[in-house]
Amino acid sequence: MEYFVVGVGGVLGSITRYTLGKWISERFDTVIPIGTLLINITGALLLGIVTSIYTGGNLYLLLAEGYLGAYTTFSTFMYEGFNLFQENEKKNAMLYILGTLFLGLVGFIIGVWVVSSLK
Amino acid sequence: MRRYIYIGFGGSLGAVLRYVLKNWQILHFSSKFYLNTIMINIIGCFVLAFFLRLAFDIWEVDSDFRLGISTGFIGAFTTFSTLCREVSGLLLSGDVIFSLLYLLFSIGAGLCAVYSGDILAKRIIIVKESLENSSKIS
Repeated sequence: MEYFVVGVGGVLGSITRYTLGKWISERFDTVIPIGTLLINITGALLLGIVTSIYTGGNLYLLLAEGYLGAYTTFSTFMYEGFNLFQENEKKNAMLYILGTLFLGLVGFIIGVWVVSSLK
Repeated sequence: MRRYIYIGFGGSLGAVLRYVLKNWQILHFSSKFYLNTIMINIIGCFVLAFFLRLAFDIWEVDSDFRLGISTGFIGAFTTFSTLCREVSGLLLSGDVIFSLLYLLFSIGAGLCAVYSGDILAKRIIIVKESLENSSKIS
C-alpha cells in the first residue's frame, strides 16, 4: 500500500515538474535553468511545510516522499550545472548551483517556520 | 499525451525505487539515512548523464521514451527537497560543520558523477564507432 501511495505521488510530481518546468523556461529565456531552479526551491518550501504538519502515515508518504520527492530533482540540477561549466559559463554555473542550494535551504526553513508560527 | 504517460510511469517507478532504497539499512549504525540519500542522488546523476549522452549521440531514441527515463524515472528518483531537509535538520540542531560537509560532498560528488557518466558514454561511443569503421574497411 505504501508503495502505491508513493507511486501515485511520483506520477503527479514528475508530470508537474515537466509541465511547470517547461512552461517557466519557455516564458523566461535565461542562461540559468530557471524552471528547475524555481521547482526545486518551491519543492523545498513545500516540504518544510509538509514535514511540519505530518510525520508519518499515508498522506505524508503521498505528499512528501511521493509528490515532492519526484517534483524536485537533484540529477537534472547537477546535469544542468555541469553543462553550464562545459559551456564555459562558470559564473552562471556557480550562481545556479549556489543559488539553488541557498534558496532551497532558506525555503525549507521558511516552510517550517510558517507552520510553527501558525500553530 | 503519450509523453505524459511515459513521464508519469517513469516517475512512479523512480519515486518507489527511491523510497525502497531510502529505507534500506546499509550499515547497521544510525537511523539517519544520509548515506542513502547521497547514494540515490549520485547514482541518479551518473545514470542521467550516461543515458542522455547515448540518447543524444548514437541511440535514436523516441523523445517521449527519452523523457520518460530522464525526466520521469531519474528525475523522480533523485530528490533535492530531501537534501534540503537533511541539511536544514543538521544546521538547526547545531551540527554546522557536518551539514556543510554533507552539502559540499553532495554537490561535488554529483558533479563528478555527471562528468563520469558522460565520459563513460563517450568512450563507449568511440569504441562502437571504431568497431564499425574497422568492419567497413575489412
